[in-house]
Amino acid sequence: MLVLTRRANQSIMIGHEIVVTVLEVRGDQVRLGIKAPRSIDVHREEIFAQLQQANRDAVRPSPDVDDLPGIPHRADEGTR
Amino acid sequence: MLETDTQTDFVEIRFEAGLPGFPHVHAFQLRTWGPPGSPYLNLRAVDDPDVGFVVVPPWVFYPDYEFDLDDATAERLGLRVADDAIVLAVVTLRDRPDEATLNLLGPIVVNRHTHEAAQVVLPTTSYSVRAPLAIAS
Repeated sequence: MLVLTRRANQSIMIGHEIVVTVLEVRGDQVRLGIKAPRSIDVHREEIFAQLQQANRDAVRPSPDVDDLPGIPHRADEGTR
Repeated sequence: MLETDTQTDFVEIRFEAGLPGFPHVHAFQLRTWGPPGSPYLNLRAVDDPDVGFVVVPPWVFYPDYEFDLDDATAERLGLRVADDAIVLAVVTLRDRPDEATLNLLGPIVVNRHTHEAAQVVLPTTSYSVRAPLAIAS
């Protein structure tokens, strides 16, 4: 892992287009500003990891209709 | 919801960025699935038989569900108004039907005209990746 030391208001560049700026350091928290092209997604890592795991857990190549939960009945849908 | 070709029972949608956990899978077939009248859909990778999901419009179970789509995603998917978008949530089926959950933190957004799709990460909401589904049954 590349390790760099930066102070508030200093930045690093990743490639030609991504700029990460340290905005503020306060106690054990660091505020970062990220400038990136719109094609690049920026996420908090733990949230993204949560979503990766959720997708892996959800994979069902051939799901079974019998495993489906029932659909809530709504009064405005009438009866069948 | 999506206009399907008369020759087929599915539409092909494309995740240019892949899905979190599955970054290399882009083309999916989306078809209605389940018993007659079912709101569930099956989302199946075209090139990988091991990747498939059950999805459902989240409002079937959570009528008050809402989120603001970030501008970058809206632009990337070519969405101009909310009506351009179809929103689906991934269902996780478990051992028993009443244990199934819904991923409300990472909704799938599809442009109904171009079929470009993305799974969005909602960073500032309190929605869960494992919201219970058996709320009204």
